[in-house]
Amino acid sequence: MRYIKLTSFVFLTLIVSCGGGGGAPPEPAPSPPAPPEPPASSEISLLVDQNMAYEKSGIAAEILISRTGDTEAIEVLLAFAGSESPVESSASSNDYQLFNENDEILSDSINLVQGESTKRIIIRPVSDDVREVPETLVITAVENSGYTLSDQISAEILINDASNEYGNSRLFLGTFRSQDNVQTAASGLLSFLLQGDNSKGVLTYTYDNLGSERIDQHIHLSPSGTVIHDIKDEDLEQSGSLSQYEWNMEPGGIFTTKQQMLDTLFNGEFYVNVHSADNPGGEILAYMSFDAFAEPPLQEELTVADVDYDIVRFLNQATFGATPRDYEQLRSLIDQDGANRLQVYELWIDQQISAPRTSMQDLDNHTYSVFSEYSQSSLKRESFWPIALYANDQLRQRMTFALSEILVISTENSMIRNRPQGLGSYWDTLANESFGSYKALLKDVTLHPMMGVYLSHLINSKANEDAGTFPDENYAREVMQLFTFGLVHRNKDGSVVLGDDNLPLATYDNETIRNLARVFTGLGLSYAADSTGNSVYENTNFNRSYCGPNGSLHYCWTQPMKFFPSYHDFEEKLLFVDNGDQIVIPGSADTGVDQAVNELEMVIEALVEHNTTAPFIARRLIQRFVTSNPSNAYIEKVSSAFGQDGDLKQVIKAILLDPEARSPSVVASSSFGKFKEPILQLTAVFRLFNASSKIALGEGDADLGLIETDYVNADHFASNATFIKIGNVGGGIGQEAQAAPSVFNFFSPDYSPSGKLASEGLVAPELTLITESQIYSMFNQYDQLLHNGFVNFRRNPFSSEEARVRIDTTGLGDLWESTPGDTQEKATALVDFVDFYLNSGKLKRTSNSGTRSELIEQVESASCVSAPICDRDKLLIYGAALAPEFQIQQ
Amino acid sequence: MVKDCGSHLLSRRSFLRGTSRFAIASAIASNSLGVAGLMRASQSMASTEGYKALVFVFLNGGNDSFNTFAPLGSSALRNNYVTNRGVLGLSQSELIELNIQNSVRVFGELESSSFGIHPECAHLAEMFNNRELAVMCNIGNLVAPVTRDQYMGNTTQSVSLPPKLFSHSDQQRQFQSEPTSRYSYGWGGRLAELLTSYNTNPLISPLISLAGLNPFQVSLEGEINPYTLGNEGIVPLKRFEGARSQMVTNYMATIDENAHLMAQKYTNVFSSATVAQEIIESAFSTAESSGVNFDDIFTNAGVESDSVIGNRLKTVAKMIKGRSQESNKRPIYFVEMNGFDQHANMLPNHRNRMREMNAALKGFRDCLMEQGDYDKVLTYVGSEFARTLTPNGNDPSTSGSDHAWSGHAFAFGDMIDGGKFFGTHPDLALGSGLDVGRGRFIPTNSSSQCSAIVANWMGVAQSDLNIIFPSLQNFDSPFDEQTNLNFIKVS
Repeated sequence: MRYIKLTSFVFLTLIVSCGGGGGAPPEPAPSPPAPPEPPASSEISLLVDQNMAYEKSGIAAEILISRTGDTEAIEVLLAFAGSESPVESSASSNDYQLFNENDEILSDSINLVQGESTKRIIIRPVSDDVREVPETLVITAVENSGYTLSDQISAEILINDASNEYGNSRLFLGTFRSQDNVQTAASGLLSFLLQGDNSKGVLTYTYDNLGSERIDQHIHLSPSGTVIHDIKDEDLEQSGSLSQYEWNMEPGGIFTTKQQMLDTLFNGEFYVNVHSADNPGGEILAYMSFDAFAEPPLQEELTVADVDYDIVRFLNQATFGATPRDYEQLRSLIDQDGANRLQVYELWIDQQISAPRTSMQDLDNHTYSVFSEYSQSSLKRESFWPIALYANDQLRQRMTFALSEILVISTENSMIRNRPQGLGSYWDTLANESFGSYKALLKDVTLHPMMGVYLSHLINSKANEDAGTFPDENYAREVMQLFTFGLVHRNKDGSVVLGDDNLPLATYDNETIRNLARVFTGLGLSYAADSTGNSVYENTNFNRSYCGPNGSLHYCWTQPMKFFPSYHDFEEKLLFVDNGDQIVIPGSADTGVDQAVNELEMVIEALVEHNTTAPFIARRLIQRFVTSNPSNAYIEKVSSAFGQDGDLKQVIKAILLDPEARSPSVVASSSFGKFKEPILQLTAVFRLFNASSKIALGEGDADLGLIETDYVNADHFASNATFIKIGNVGGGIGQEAQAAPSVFNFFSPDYSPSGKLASEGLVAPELTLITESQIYSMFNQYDQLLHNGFVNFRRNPFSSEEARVRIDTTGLGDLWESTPGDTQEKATALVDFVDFYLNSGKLKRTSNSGTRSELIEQVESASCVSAPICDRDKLLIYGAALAPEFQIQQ
Repeated sequence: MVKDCGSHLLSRRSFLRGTSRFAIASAIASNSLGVAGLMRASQSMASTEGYKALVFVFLNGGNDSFNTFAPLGSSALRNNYVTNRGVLGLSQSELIELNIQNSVRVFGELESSSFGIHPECAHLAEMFNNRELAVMCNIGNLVAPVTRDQYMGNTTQSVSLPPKLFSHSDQQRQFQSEPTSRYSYGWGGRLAELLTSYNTNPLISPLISLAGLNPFQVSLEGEINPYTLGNEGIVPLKRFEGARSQMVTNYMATIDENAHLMAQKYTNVFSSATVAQEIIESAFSTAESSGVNFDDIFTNAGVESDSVIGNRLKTVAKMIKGRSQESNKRPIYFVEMNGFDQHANMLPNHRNRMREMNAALKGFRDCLMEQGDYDKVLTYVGSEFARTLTPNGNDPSTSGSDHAWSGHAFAFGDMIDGGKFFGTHPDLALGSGLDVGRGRFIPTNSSSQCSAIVANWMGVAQSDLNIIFPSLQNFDSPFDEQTNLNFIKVS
C-alpha cells in the first residue's frame, strides 16, 4: 500500500505576535489570494476514538469526523494508507470494512448531512485464518468542495489478530539437545510465549550440565544457522538460563519485515543455541515448536445429504457400528435440513443412558451354563463380542470400552486371566458408572480386587521399618499418571501450565508417590472361599487371597476390597499440589475402618477435583470417540461438562454434540478424526452384516436353524443375538478387549508416527498397532471371515457348524437385484451402500475417488453364484474393510 | 565414499517411504544436523568385514536381577543379601554356584568371589562356566557418576540425574537410548545409521523387531524404520490373487499426498510389508531346508511350544541362518520378554520367568552353535531396572518388590569374555553406600557404557561412540582396564 506524505497539509491561519506588553494590536494577516471556488465554510478534523481493532474478539477501531463552522451537507473524501516503515505491516482493503453507527457499510466518501457536526466511523477488522503482525492503517481526509481541512486530518489505527490478554498468547516449547552431535550431557527446556497481537513474546529457558563454560547464545534460523538475534550476557540469570526475556522479534539476519519473522516462527525454523568454550560452534540447541491445537471447524449450512451422512457419523462415533436399522430410526425423527438433529441425538443419548444395563458377568454365567467346555481365559473375550454386537445399551457399552482403555486391567497378566468372574465384574463396574460420576467410578475401581491384583495394592501393608518392608507404589503412581491428572499441570483447555520459570509444571514427584502409596495400604479381600470354592465366608485374614479353585464361583474377586485397619497407615500424608495448595491428609488418632475409608474418599475426591483431571480425562475420551487431535476449545467445553465430580453423562453429551464432532466440513480435513482401532473396525463390519452363529442367546427359531438357550436377560440384546465364540481373533487383528500389553493401554494418547503426522504436531494413537506383520495378519483375518467364518474349538455340546460365526450378505444380493439399470449402476449401489455405513459416505463425497471407482470396477465384473457368500460380496467386503479411507473415522 | 553413503540412504528411503528421489535428496541436503557425524563414522569403517548380528533381549517390567545373580558363601555381602532381601531371599542350597574366573569387584570394603545364579537357570550356569556368558554388575541409567550424598542433597555439589527415575516408561526409553529428558532416538536405531555402509540391502531394514515398535530401534534421521515380525515370522496374505490383489494394489496406489495423513501412513506400512515379505520368506525357506532342526533344538532345551520368548528367538535364529549374500551385514534384532513387573508374588512369578528365559536362551544358543553362527551373534540381555532389595510384604509367596534403579545385565556368544563378573557389584547395604532407599542402588556403571561396548563390537570406532552415547564423556572409558567393564574377548 502506498504511503501518502502528510506534511504538506500545513495551514497558517493567524500569526500572533506576542512581543512586549501594551504594543499595538496585531494587524490582521494579509488576505490569502482569492481562491478559484467560493471559500469553504466548514472545517474538517479527524479524531481517533479507539485506535485498536482485534480480529479475534471482533472489536472495531473508531474514528470521528468533526467539523466547525458551517453545517451544510458535504461529502468528505478519505484516503487510506499503510505504515511508513517497511518493517511494519500495512492493512489492505481486505483487512477491514467501514461502517456508520447504524451498521451501514461506508465507502471512502462520507456524507455529512445538513446540521450534522460529527460522524463516527467504525473500522471493523475482517477475520481471516492468516497469522499476522499488527497492521497499520492511516486514514486521511483529503480535499473536496464544501470544506477546508484543519491541521488534524489524519488518524492512525492498528488492526491486530488478537488482544494481548494472557489467554490469547500462544506457546512455543522446545527441549535442548546436542548441536551437530557434539558430546554433551546437557539438557534443558525452553518456552516462548507469543502475545496475542503477534508482535513480540517472552522467552525463557533453562538448562544444566553444559560441558564447559558458556560463552554465548543466540537465536538462529534453521537450517542455514544464520544468527537472527543475539541474547546478551547481561540479560541472563547467574546460571546462564534466561528468564522472562522480552524478544521483540525485530527483523534480523536475512529478514526485513516483522511478518517474515512471524511466519518463520510458526514454521518452527527458529532455534536457540548455547555456545561453550569447548564447543564454540554451539553445544546445545532447542527449537521453538508451536504447541498447536487443532482449530475448530467453521459452521455451515447442511444439505440433506450432509444430514444423512452425519447420522451415520454419529452412530459410528456412539456405537460399535452404524446399522440400517439405527440409521432409519434416527432419520425418521430428524428434519430434512437437520435443524433438530442435535435435539434428536440428545434424546437418543438419554434413551441409551436409561436403557437397562447389560452385564458381562451375567452373560459369562449364562455361557458357563450353556457350554460344557470352556476355558477360563477365553471366557471373557467371548462375552465381549455379543455385547458389542447386540447389546441394546450400545452407548453405555461403547463408553465402557473407552473407559477400559483408560482404567486399564489386562489379561496379559495371568492373575487377571485366570479370574474371569472378576474380569466380568470389573467390566460391569465400569459400565455401571459409565454415565455416573468419575469420582464414584474411581472409588469403585480403586476398591475393585481385580485392580488390586493388577496394580498390586491388594494386601499391601503399611511400612514395617524393622522388617524393612514398604508399601507398594504401583497404584499410587498410576492413579495419578494415567487415571486422573497425568505428569504435568494443564489448563482447562488442555494446554500445559507453565511454572514461574515458564517451564511445564510437574504434578508430582517420587516423594508424592511414596506418600500416596501409604493411603492405599491395608486393603484386603472382603470374602474368602474354602477349597471347593463353593462355600464363601467373610474374610478376617488380611493376607488371605484364596478364593476357590479356577473355574469356581470366584465370588471374592467380584466384591469390593475392605480395609484391615491394623495394616493401614494412619500417619499424616503430604500429597500433590493443586491450585497452589498442597493436599494434606492429617494423621489420625482414630485408627478404625471408617477413618481409613474416609481418608480414601478424601483422596479420591482430591484426585478427581484436581484442576488437571478434567482436561486430562476429557482429551482421552474425545480421542476414544471422535478425533485424535481435538482443538483446545473442544477440550475446554468437555472439561466444563466434567465439572468437579466428573459428570460423565454431561461429558458424553459434550463430546458427541460438540460442533467439532458434528461439522460435516471435517471430512475435507486430512487430519481430523481418528484411525479406527482393529476391534471397532471389525465390530462395524459384524454389525452391518449381522454376524451370528446358530446358538441364540434367547429364544431360538427352528425355521432359521437357531438353537435356543433361554438366557433370562436376552431382552437386553437385539432379538437376533447369538453366541459369538470366535477364539483368538483378537490375536489376529492385533487387539483384544481388556488385554492391553500394559497399564499404558494398547497405545499412548500421544503417539505420533514419524513423517508428516509428527512434523505437523499431530498424534495418531491407534497407528501404534499398525505394523507390517500386523497389517498382513489383519488382512488374513478378513479373508478368514469371508472364506469360512470363525469358529472356536471349545464349543461342546454344539457342532462346529452351529458355533461357526459368519456374516450374512443376503442384503447385498437383494440390493443388486432391486437396483435398476446396468451392472455398473448395480455395482455402484453396492459400493455406495458399504461406503455409506462403514465410511459415512466419504468415498462418494470425494470427487474422483480412485478407491471408489476401483471397487466399482472390480465388483461389477465379479460373479455371484456360490453360497453362502458369493465372490462379488467377498470382494466388496474385503476391499472396503481394508481400503485406506475406511481405516479413518472422521 | 561420502557419495556412496548418500546414494545408499536414498535407496533405503525410497523403499521405506515411497517418496521420490528428488524429495529425498533435498531432505538430506537441508538436514545439516547429524548427517556430518554419520558420514564421518561411515568413513572410518572398513566395509569388507563379514557378518555380525546383535540380538537385544529386553526383560520388560524390571527384572529382579538381584535374585537372578546373588551372593553365596559366608561373606558380609551374603549377610547383607540375607538380611535385606528378607522373605524374598534365595537360600544357599537353591542357588546354583558359578565358577567365576575373575575376582569380583564389590563396592566398598566388601569382598566376595562366590556367587550363584537363580535355581531355574541351570543352562545359563553351564554357559557361564563354559566361559560363553558374562555378567555386567550393577549397571543402570546415569547421566554422570552420582554419589549417595549428591543424590540425597547432602552436598552443595549439584548433580544431574536421569529424568523420572523409577518410572517404567521413562527408564525403559532411557535404557534403550540415553538418559536425557528429550528422547530423539534409540541406540539401536542410531547404531544402524552409523553402520549404514554394512547394510546394503535397500529392500529390508537392518532393524528387525520381534516385539512391535520400540524406543530402541528409533533412528535419529527417521530414514531407517524397524521392520516388525510376528513371533513366528511372517504369514503371507491368503488368497491374495486375481481381482482381489489387483483391486487392493490399485487403490493403495491412488492414495497420494492429499489423502488423510493417517490413511497415507497405513498405505506406506502396507507397501513396506509387501516388499519385505518376499525377502523374509526366502530367508525362512533357506533356513528350514538347511538341515538345522530348529524345533527339536528348542524343545530339547525345555522351551514350551507356546513360549513367546522361545518362538521369537527361534524366528531370529531362522532369519540369521537364512541370510544370503545380499543380506544386511549388521542386522539389529529387538526381542522382548514380558511379565517382570512383579510387585506381588515375586518369588513364584520370577521363578516362572527365569525358567522360561533359561530355556529360550539355551535353545537360541544351541541353534547358533549348530548353525555355526555363535561367533557372529552377540546376545545382550538387560532390563530397565532391578527391583528394590527390600520386599513389600511379609509373606514369601505373595510379597513383591518395587521399581529400583541399577541392575545386572548379561551377554553371551563366542566373542564374550565369559565366566566373569564385570563392573562393580553393590554392597547390598541399606542406608549407606549406594542405597537411595529400600535397596534402590545407584548404578556403579552406566548402561550407556555397557551398550557402547556392544556398539563397538558391531563396528563403531571408539572415537565415534559419543555420536550414539553423548553421556559417555562423563565417565571413564568403558574400554579402560580400570573400568573393568569390557566383556568382549581380546582377539
